[in-house]
Amino acid sequence: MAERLRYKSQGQPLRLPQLQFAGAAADAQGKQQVANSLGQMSSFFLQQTNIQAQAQGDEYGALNTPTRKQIEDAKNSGTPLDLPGGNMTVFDRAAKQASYNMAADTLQALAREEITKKVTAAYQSRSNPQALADDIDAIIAGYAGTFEQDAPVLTRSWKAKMGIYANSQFESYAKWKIGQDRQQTLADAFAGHASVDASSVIIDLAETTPGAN
Amino acid sequence: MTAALAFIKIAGPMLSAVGAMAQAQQSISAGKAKQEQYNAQARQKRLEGRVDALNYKRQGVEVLQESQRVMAANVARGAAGGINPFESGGSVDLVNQYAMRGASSDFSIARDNAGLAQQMAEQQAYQYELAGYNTVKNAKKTAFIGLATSAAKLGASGYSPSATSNPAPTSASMASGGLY
Repeated sequence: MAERLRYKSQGQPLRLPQLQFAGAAADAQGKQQVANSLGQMSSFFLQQTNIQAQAQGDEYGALNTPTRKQIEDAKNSGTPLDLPGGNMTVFDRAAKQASYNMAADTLQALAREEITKKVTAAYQSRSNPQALADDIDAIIAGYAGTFEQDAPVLTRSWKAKMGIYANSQFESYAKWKIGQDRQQTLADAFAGHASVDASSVIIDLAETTPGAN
Repeated sequence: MTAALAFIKIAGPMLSAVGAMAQAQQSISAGKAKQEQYNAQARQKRLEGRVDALNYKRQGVEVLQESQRVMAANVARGAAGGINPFESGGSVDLVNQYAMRGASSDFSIARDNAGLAQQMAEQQAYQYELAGYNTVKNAKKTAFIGLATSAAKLGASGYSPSATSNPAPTSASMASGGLY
């Protein structure tokens, strides 16, 4: 008897091999490198452009900074200075900074001149130190007011710098005035006791007279 | 110290330029090496595809052999049992048809798998070749951009070959007391 055989299906499925899209992946990677290189190049050019704009802004700001007369007029009229530049672009910011720096120097020179005049006048008139302090404050506030609105930070720094100078001037005058007052008091005391010829009395007077020490 | 500074002043920019060119060359060389690697992978993939296709074809042949063996056995068994094994529509014929149905299905699948293996291997090889081509193309672009950037940087540094070299003394300058 022949062998009884049956065909057994192998049950093989259709096999679809995986495809790796290496071409696209390599292209993407390469283009990323190109993009990075382009980014580096453009950032370099951007940096150069910024440097150029900064230099041009500095130059523009320095050239168009307000003159001495314009500053004096602005201070006298109480109007803010019309300074070049702004806050939007690198050029504007550089122009503004350069202009403010130069204007601040001129303002400082002008303010010092006025303070010196006031102090000299105070020495001559022997006026009250408090009046001199008020005058100095008014000078500083007047000049600071010309650019306080546009540059508050710079104004604060300028005021502080001027405050140190003004304080030294005021202190010198106040010390001098105190000495003068003491001498005057002594002189007055001497004048009131001209007929007394006793140095001990004068010394006692000097020690007991208020403001003479 | 002064000589060293002068050397740096003159040689520094030149070395930068040479370095930038070498970097660009290296970038392209690296791209070409990578392309070679991709091409090798493509060749290997084609070979793999052919081997896979052959294996599937062998499976198909085995299926055919098995079906022949089964049908032969059925014919022999029918003949031994006194049945005409070649009678159309007879029981042996019906059993053989049943066996052939399964075998033909398996054979078709094996044949399709062989075709798919070869075609997909070809596609994969093409992908590798494309990857190599793209790598070299982008390496050249990157090298060019790098060179341009280096040239711009060198230009922005203010380097000028004529500005760094000392003027040669002329007879007039020698006669008037030299350069110093």
